Amino acid sequence: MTESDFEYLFRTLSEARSRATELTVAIGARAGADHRLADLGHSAVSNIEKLLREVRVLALDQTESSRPVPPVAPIPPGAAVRSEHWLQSLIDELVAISRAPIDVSFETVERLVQQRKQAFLKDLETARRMYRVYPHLFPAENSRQAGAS
Amino acid sequence: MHVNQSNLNELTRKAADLMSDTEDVARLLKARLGAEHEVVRSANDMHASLESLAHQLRCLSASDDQHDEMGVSEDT
Repeated sequence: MTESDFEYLFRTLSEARSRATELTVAIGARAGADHRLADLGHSAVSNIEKLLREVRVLALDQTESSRPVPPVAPIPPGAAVRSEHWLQSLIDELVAISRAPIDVSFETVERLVQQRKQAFLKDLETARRMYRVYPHLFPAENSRQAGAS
Repeated sequence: MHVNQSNLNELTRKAADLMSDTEDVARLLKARLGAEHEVVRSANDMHASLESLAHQLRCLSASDDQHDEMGVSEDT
């Protein structure tokens, strides 16, 4: 796997996650959150998120196994992962819901928050591993911000 | 709630586009890692779920009684 492969995968999967989430929200808004189509949408989003996490771990593992001892090494593919704050993602989903021609329910919002929380915790676990392996990639200013999340 | 054919067609198109735009992901991973790799299986799962979603939407869109299927009324 090359660096450009990982960049392509990160970009494509991140976009796919956003589009699938928006699509699922739109389906749920029109057909109901419990409709089988909404379930299929949630399943698709989960599978995209799972693959995205695995690709991130793969990038990390590949870099770990090939990284030379000297600290001045090329920037690993993991650095290509764009920072995506969970709050922005959640807001995007809520905005998508608000555009749907139905009332927004507390249950829908609670479920979205729960999904964002689970995704955030899994991403945080991966980010912590990256921080331990590549501390030089995380300037002090960034680490303070990360701690504030 | 209100579902019309136009909305359904739009959702169907978006699902089909999403499936099409992610087709190369599984292909790339398979070429680089081999068909038996765990990540390739996850990519296949992702593609299958998107394909299933697009297929179900397509079926619903093509159906004459899609409103009954989605359990919504046409009173809007």
